[in-house]
Amino acid sequence: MSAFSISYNGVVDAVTCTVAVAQTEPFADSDVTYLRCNAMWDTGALYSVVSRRVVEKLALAPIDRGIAYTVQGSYDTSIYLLDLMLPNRMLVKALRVSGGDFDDCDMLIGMDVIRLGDFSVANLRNTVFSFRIPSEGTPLVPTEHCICAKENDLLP
Amino acid sequence: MAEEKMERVSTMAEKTDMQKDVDWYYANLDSLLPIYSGKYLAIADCRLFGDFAECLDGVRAMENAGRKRGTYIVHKCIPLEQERREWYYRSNRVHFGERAK
Repeated sequence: MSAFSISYNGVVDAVTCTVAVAQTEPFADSDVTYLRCNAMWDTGALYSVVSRRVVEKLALAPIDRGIAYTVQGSYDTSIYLLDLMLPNRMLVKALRVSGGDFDDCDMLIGMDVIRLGDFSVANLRNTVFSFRIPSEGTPLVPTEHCICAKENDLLP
Repeated sequence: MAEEKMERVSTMAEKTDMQKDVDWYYANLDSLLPIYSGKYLAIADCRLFGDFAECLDGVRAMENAGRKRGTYIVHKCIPLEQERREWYYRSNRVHFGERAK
């Protein structure tokens, strides 16, 4: 099992964390450049989305085009293949993500990632967010199974 | 300066090629779907190069064949309604703030 837990200062209105992303390279000997970025976990998104800043910084090249549907309407978008490194350095490989126009974070982590494992948010005095892969079938992550840390301090 | 301009023109051309492949896919969806439902289709120059269980396998096959990313598409072959359900996100977050005076 791979798990992490993030303890925030106070109760937060968005579950965010630092992740690293890179364009998926199909061959093992390719150079991979990771970009550290701020991601928001979004159960309202069926798939993950990266901001224009990430697309430009990583010079992502699309592997497909499609139509993204949002509550505000739809728009044409490029689709990219990304590797996502979670705060505990666990790698989710070859995610199909679209580009999006938003500036309050660099990436939305959607249900394509969340459904790979168990997602937990507790809000007694401060928000504690936990995530583990694979799912163990129970809704809460026991802390003895987690790497516990403050927000942003898990990646080097 | 001229080099930068040429690079931009080249990128635009690649996007146009990709859009042609996307248009070809949708134009042929009715015939592709019964055969390839659920598979990832690698398409370039308005031709089907292969079908794959995983998207990355399609990318690997195309780049093994010398294709640069941005000159082909790897598209999941599913009904349009399902595609619409798979590509939903809620976009901008809703904020409640004070109206500027």
